[in-house]
Amino acid sequence: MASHANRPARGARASRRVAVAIAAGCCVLGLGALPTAQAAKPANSTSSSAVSGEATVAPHGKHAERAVQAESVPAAPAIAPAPAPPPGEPPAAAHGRHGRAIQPAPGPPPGAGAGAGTGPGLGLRRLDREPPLARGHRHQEGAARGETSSAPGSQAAAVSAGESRQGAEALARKHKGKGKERGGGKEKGGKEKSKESVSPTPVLKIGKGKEASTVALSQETAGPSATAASLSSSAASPVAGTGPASITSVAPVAKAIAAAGVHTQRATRNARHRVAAHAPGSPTTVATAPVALLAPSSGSGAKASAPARAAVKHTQTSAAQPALVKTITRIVGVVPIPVRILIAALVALALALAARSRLSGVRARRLARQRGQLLEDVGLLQAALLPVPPARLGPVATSVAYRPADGPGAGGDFYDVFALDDGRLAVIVGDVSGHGREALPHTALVRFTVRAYLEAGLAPRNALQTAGSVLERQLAGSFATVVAAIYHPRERTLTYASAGHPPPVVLGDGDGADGSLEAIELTTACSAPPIGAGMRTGTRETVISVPGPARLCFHTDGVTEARIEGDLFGAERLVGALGDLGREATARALLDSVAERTDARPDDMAACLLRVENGAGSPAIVHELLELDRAAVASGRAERFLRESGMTAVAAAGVIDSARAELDLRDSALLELSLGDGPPHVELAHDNVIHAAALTAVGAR
Amino acid sequence: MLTTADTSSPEPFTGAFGIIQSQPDERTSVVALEGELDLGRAPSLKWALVDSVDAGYKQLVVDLTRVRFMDSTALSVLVGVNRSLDVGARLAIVCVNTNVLKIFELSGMDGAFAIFPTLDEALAHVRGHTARIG
Repeated sequence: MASHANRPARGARASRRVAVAIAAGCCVLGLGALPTAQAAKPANSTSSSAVSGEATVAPHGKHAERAVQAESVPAAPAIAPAPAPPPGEPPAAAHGRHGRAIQPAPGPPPGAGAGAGTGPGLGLRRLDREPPLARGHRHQEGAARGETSSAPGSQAAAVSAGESRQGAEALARKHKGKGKERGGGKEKGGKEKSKESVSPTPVLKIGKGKEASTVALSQETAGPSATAASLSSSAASPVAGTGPASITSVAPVAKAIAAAGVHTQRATRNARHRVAAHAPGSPTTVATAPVALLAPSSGSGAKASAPARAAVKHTQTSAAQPALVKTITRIVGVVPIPVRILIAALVALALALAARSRLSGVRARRLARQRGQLLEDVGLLQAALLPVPPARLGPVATSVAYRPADGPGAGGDFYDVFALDDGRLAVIVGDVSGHGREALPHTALVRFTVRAYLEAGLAPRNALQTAGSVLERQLAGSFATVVAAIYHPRERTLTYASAGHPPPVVLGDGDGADGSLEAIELTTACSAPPIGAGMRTGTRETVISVPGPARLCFHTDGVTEARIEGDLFGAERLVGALGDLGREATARALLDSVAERTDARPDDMAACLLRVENGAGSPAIVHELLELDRAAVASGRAERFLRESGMTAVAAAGVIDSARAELDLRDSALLELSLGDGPPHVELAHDNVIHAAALTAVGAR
Repeated sequence: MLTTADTSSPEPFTGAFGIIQSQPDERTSVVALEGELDLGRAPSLKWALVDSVDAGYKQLVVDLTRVRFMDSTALSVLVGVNRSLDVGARLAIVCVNTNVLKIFELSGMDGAFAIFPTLDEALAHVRGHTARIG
């Protein structure tokens, strides 16, 4: 109450701030700022009730005196000196409560003697300082006071109303209007009432003189809502009947509260807080300070007023701060120390975690970038090992494809398709053990070595044999599986040799309409070991005739070892996939099909597909060359080879006997199996195949 | 007979796989595998065998009896270990599964290993009681 007196001078600027503060406050509370603003606006011009609000806020019993007194002081300076000791209340308490709570800037003299003196003293002081503006208002009676200070008052009401509930604004507005109308008429009665109810003190009376109308007015205004108001404001107040003024002051708020069905005490508290928030350095303070007082008076007394005081004081110091800051500050002020510490700890933890997360994010991005670069490098190197051949080499359509493993496999697979003289076509497909970087040099080495021997004119078996003996030392422990093949378009034959590599799938297009697949089936017995495995390789060569249209599919074991329902994809499914693709199959389509059919592909997949066109007839094995050693014969592998190639047991045994005899004299024997229309025919040779073949090839050039 | 039992890869993600190492005598180490021996499990096999070699065992038996299938990666492990054996050391494989045998055969490595249908035969082989058949 005291504070209000010295503030009005700042009117215009302050009211702007108030509007902002109110809006912010409402926003903070999650209420619409618009209604509040609307409520506040009309109040500025008219609201006598709002004025009464400020005057009446205090008048709860003893406090009412002060409120009235303070209000009246500006209005009637001459009278001010008269002290009004609150009846029945300990002066000290009164001082402590009101003086501090209401008096922001000039601060009451702390030790200001008797409580009785304090209140009036404050009032006087205010009075002295009171700007002319305030004085001018006095002519306007209670309603008039509003111009400067009423505006805030109404705002305060509006604020509290707005805070309480949406419906409040409307009510508040209504009230204001009502109040104004009735302002003059009810003066007398109100005056009397206030006198009686508030305090008998002369000062008060005098002060009230001008105030009376306000009080009365507000009372009137509050009339309808008196119950609600009294409920809210004086629910805890022993002086329920005391303050018509007080009731009035709370009226809008209380009404709103009542309308909104909010618990009155809480609403009052809210109002107090709002007021406290807006109090500092603005006319609002003037108007609202009493409202703030209301809380203590309506509450259980000094205890209740303490927070309000603190809040007011606190917020006053930070008057210049934005509303949000103020709100936060206020909230912080209420938080207990342990909770603050806890919050601080949590914030620190959150910050630490955020920093850590950011760090690891940065690290992850860097690693991802590096990984991408590495994979790119590997990809570039691999591309050099996985050339793109022309789509057609002579009469044969060619296609190649490579599909990296799902996981970290990657690397080791290679292929090459190139033309030889005489229109022949060479194919190399292989896989070097190990993956990634370390496999790349070996991959290149094996591929170009084998290619060189093929280009030099060696037959596939001899190329592998020679490459095997050459590369054995260079592979340094790792080994490579390779298949080397030459397709001879004039003879329409495919000659290939494998070093531990899966044989090609040879699938005729088939003449019948039944769509049956005619894949060549070879025995796997006596397959040659990989290059670099420490064993002699290039020991077997197969010649297949391809009289009609056919698909010749070379692939790496990544294809047949893809997983399908926990099992290996296998050669049979590969034949099925190839058959399903039809005559226009490509390597890419094949690998896509395999990938589609399988659940997991732990290894790289590479495929090279030759499509032979024209002609008629199904592919058939015409020749098998097999270099035998003693172990192959002793272990029974040679015999199994013969048997699975279609020889009778007797014939096979005879061949084995001959081979044994041959091997008694030499380290190896060359077995040539001819398969034609008739029974298989076997011839045994005994020359050193490797060198003879190599020399022959070189000599032939 | 089993002096130690170690399951280095218990119940992996796809299908069961396990390695059980045992030492029937002071010179012999048996590595028994179970499940699917593929790219992911090959390293387990490799380290089991390398550990045995490093520990001084000269007679190694790899029991693939309970292996459902094996891919080229696991085969390359066996090839590598087989090649790195010291003079006088022996490696035998126990295998009856035709899928697995087919892998050995297709890769042309069936001649490189001594493969036996039973553990006893394999043990007899590594102990030098029988001639190598491979």
